[in-house]
Amino acid sequence: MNTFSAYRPFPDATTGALAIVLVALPFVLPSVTLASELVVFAVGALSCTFLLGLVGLLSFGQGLFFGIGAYGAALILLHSNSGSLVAVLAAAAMAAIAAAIVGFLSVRRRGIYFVMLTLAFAQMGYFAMLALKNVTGGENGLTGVPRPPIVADLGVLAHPQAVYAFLAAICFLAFVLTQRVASSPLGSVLRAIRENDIRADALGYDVRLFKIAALAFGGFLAGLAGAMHTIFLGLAPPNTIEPEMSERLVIMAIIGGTGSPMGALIGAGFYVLLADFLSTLWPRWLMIIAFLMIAIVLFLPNGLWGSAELLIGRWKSHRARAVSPEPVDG
Amino acid sequence: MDRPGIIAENVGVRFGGFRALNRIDLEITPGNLHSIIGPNGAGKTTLFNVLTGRLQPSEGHVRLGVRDITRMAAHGRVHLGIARSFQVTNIFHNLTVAENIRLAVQAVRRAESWTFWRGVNPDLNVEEILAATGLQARAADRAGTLSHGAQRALEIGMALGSDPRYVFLDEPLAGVSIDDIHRIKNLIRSLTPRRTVVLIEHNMRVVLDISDRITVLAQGEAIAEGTPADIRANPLVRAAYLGASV
Repeated sequence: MNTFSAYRPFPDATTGALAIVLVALPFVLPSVTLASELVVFAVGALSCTFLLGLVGLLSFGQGLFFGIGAYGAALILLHSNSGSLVAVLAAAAMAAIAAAIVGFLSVRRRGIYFVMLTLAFAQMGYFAMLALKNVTGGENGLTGVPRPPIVADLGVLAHPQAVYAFLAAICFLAFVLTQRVASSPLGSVLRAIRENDIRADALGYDVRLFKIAALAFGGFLAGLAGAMHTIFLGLAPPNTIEPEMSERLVIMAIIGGTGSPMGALIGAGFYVLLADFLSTLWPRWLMIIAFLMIAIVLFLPNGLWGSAELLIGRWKSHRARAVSPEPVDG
Repeated sequence: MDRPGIIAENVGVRFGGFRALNRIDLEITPGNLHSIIGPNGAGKTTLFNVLTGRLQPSEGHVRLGVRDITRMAAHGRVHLGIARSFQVTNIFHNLTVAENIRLAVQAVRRAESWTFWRGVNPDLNVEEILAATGLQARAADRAGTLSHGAQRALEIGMALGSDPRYVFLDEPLAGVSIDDIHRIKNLIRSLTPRRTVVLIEHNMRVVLDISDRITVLAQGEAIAEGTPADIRANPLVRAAYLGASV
C-alpha cells in the first residue's frame, strides 16, 4: 500500500537507522557538500511524503514554501543579528503560516482541483518574487547571506563539516517530529481522512481544519528545508521558489515511496546523488531522471523504500513459515 | 429541556428540477425508536442526510429542541450527540476493526484528536462497543476483511463511538444473513430508551416489531405517521408500499 501504515511504534527501527545514515553520510559520500545538499532535500521531500503518504494530499505547491523558507531565512540573516537557528525556525514558521493561508483557500476543493490550486499558488509565488525585486533581488536572488553561529557565539558554522552537522541535526529532528505526529492521535485522524474523508466527517472530525493543519505542517517542513538551503549555499537563488522546485520535491517523494518518512531520505538521496553523477556525464541528465520516474511509477508503485520494506516483510514471513507449521497470512 | 427532540419543519430538497423531499414535517421524540420507511427513491436517505448535516435543505429548518441546526455541518452535529451509519458500508477498510471504533470514540474528544506529542490513548472505551457488536474476536483484523454482516455491525459500532443521544441507522440490515439479523435487531432495540434511534429499514417484519413510531415516505412526501399498528392498518400505506404480504 502506498501509505503510512497504521501505527508504527515510536521511535522505531528506522529512527535509529536514520541516525546512523546521517552520521555516516559525510564519510561515505565524495564530498561533505553533497551530504549537506542531500539532507536539505530529504527534509523538502519529507513535506511531500507526509502530505501524500499520511493525509493523501498531493501538493504541487511545496516549492513555494521551500522558497519562502529560503528567502525568509536570507532576509532575516541579511537584515538582523539573529543566529542561524532562530533564522531557520522563523523562516519555517513563515512558510507554515503561508501554507495555512494557501490551505484555507485550497481545501475547499478536493482531488484534481485541489492539486491545480496548489500549482496556481506556486506559480503566483514565483512571479511575486520577481515583482518584489527590491526585497528579493529579482532574477539575481539574494546573495552574500552571512552564516552566523547557531545561537549567540555558540556553534560557529565556518567549516562545511560544521554546516553539515547543523543541517543533519535539523534533518534528524524533522524526521523524528514527523514520525511522532504520524503515530499520535492527530496522525490517526489524518490517516482516517486519507482513507475515507466522508466517514471521518460523519464521525465528527472537521476534515477541512485537519487538512489545513496538515498543510501548515507540510509547509513548515518545506520552509525548514528552504531555510537549510540558504544556510548551505549562503545565498537564495530564484530556483528555490520556481514551480520546478515543487515538481522536484514531489518526484523525490514518489521515487523514495510515500509509505514511510524514510522514503523521503531515500528518494532525495537517490535524486541528489544521481544528479551529481549524471550531470558530469551528460547535460541532458534530467531526461534520465524522467525515465527513472516513469519506470518507478510503472513497476515500483511503492517507491524504492516501500519496495525494500515489502521484500524484507516477505523474507521475514518466509522465515516464519519455515519455522512454524501454521501458514502465516501476509 | 433535558432531552430535546429533533424537529424537521417544512423541509424540502430539490436536485435541479427534481423534488427529492417536499414539505416534510417530522418530530423525533427522545427515547423513541422511530423508523422511516417507503419505497426506493422515496427520499429516506435524503431526509437522513438533511437531519444529520450531510446535505443542506433547499427550504425549511432542522431544529434540535429550540436550536436551529439547519446549516450546521455533519461533524458539528456529532458533538451535539447526533451520529449516523451509512446505507452503503462506509468504513476505514485498511485500518483494523478496533482502530475504526477507536477513531469514532476519539472524535468527540477534541483535545485528544489534536494531540501530536504522544501515542494514542489506550483508555478510550473501545472494548464495550466491540462486545456490543460482537466483534471482539476480529478486533485486530483489517476491517476490509470482515464479512458483509460483520461490516454492517461495525457500521453501527462506529455510530455508537461518540456515545450519541441520537443514532441514525440507514438500512443496517441490508444484505445481512438471517443468522445475523436477529442479533443486530436486538442490538438496535437495546439502544433505546437511553438513546433515540432513527432507522431506515426495508425489512418490514423487523420494523413493525421494534419501532415505537413509523413515518412512511412516498415520492418525497410523508404520507402517514403512527404506531406500527396504525401503519399496518392504514389503507393508503398498504396500497403504496406494504402490498398484500403483511
